[in-house]
Amino acid sequence: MIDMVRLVAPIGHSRLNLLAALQRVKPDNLLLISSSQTRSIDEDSVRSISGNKNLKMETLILGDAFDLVGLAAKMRTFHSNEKEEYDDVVLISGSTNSIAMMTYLLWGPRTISLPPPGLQTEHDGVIQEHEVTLDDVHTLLGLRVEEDKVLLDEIECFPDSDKCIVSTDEGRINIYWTTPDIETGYNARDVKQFLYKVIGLGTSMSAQFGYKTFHHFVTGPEEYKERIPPRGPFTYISEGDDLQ
Amino acid sequence: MTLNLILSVNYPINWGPVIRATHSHQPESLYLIHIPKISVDSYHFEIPENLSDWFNQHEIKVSFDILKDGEKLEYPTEHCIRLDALSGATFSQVKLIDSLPDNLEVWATSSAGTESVRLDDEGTINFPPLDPIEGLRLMGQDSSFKEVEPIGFDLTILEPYIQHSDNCARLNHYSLEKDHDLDVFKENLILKDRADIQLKIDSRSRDGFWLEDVIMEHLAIKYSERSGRLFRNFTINRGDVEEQFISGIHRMLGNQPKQILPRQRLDIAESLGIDPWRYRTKSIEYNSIIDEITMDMFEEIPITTYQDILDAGSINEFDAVLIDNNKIITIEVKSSRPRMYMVAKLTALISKHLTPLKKKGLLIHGYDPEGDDVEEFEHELELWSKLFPDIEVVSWFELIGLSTPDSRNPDINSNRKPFIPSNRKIRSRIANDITGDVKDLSLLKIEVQIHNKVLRFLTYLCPGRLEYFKGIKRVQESWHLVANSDKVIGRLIGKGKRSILGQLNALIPELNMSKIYGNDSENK
Repeated sequence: MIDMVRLVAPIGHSRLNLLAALQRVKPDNLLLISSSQTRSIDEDSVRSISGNKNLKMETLILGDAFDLVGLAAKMRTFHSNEKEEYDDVVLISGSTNSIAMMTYLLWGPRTISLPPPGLQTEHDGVIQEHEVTLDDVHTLLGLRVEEDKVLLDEIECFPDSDKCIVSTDEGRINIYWTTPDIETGYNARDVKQFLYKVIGLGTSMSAQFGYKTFHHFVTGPEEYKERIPPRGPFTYISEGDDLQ
Repeated sequence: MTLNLILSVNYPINWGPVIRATHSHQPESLYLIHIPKISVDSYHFEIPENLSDWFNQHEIKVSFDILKDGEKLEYPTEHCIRLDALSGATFSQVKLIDSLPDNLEVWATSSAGTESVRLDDEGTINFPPLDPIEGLRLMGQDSSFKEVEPIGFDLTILEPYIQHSDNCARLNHYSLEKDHDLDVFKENLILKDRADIQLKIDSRSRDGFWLEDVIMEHLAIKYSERSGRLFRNFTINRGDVEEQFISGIHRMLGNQPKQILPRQRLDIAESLGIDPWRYRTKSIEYNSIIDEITMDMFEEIPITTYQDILDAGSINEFDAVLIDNNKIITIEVKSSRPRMYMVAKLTALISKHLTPLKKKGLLIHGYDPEGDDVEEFEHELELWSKLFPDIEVVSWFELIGLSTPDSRNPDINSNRKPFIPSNRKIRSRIANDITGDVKDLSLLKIEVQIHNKVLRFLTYLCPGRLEYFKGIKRVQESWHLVANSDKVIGRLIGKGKRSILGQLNALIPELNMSKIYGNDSENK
């Protein structure tokens, strides 16, 4: 079995990193490592996005991701009980730092990671870009994109946004917002409340679906620029600025 | 053997994980290594001042290095070298492991900061967590707060006073003022429970501050049983005290002049020469005065008002922060209907400021919908629970376990409100007289004294009408209040004008206006 490639992939909230790793490694086997804090993942969906209907999958569920003693013991036990030996590649850009590091120590040293920017992988010293499609978003994240809206279980994730675009080449979903126009009857308080909504929704959805999944472009007057966090999935475009 | 701790760090450095890992391992030397993923023109390495002092106190030497591709780190192999996976990206940590000697130990400290576990071998270190508030201080987030100790007040005595008003469950201050003591000057109602335990709550029912007092007592009791710590009026301070102070006075005068207490009014008038109750933000003249305010003007100001102004000028104020079992719960209290932007704001604020811990938010509100609004609100709550899973939204009466009038007896019309006469005419007439400047501070002091005595007297005559009298007090001079109060009281209690004025004059000698203001005032 040493000639069979296995992707050992700890997963957290994000799913796009798994998509990129599957596209890049094209494994015969997949060992998913998840925790009780991770949303469950459907095996058929994973096979579907991997493009390999015969992909063999196994899932190791660790329990509480923050119980370091428990997860380290469980991973060691699982590793020592493994009977088959594979050509393992470890995804180190998923899950918590401690789970990712433990995975590397047990199943390394070959790694695949996702350095910034965008959706790209680094494996065997070579960086490669990846694309994400509307179907991938639906299959992996359970999100639907309809009529410029992102929907989760029929709930609109970003109410009051202008539109959303699945940016195939950037490997993410771009959300566009425009601050209320003060000249048409809105006041400064309306703008502040709107920006709180953008930042709150952006932060919350990134925490649930991964920090590379969404990016928010907010257009508005220059004076509100400093209200948008300088880091994170936000870009503020002052009115009159060139979008490029 | 010398212990060296190596941490991978992003740039700019996120100090939270660095502090927790260092607190755990207590190394002699700390090496912060940054491996650039994207090129940065120049690096500026600066340790927050409080953290630098903390490193010095613990005799930890700190250095910052940048490791570029192909470079190796060199350390004496006889030293113990640990890498902790808590800080930085795994991608960088793996590169570090490749470049370090074979005697490297790989550890991970828990995000709660209570234990470190060796990952490449057996081994665990358990230690008391760093106080989360201390953690924030070390990170350079200077915060102010008041720790709340429970009084043990029996909040169930409030249940009969809950009234349904504008689709909200509020306390009926009319009844509370009749049954409990009122401190007009401090604007406090002093509640007593069956065991004679006293709880002070803000008497300003309109602004909902009373709800914060009630909630704080409930949470303090609940969480003290499990060693939780509650801090109220939690503010994140600006780096510059003077900037924060000036910002505070701007906010108080610009946005919240109606919330300024009598004692604050006097303090501000004395140091600034502006009477905040009569200050008008739209006045060009006074805006120019505000622009010239400096901290020197407040040199002698009493510490209580000084702190109030600083709080008002902070970057953000949370109503409360609760530290419970290594979780930090940020609490926001709204007496009205909660809106999505409020939930979003709480999410945004806790993420921005309280980064080193597991974060939760609690939005406590006074909304108590009826009819079709019930279903609509439940739908909203469900929506928010999916969009903002870290925020819990709960009504104050449910949180405490009190029933509202509707749930006690749905047949009773609980919308009945005490009669409060309109004061619109008085306001509009008086508004033209407002100037805002303080011509004579001694007169203002007398005015505040009279004001308080009059309010006490009116409250004595007409319990439960305090809110009305306070409504007019903000926009008119005391002699106007007194001049009109006889008519108001006459309407309220059906007595003649002369008898009321007689009683007022007997009780409050200062009400002889000619003695205070002279004949000119009487002609106003």
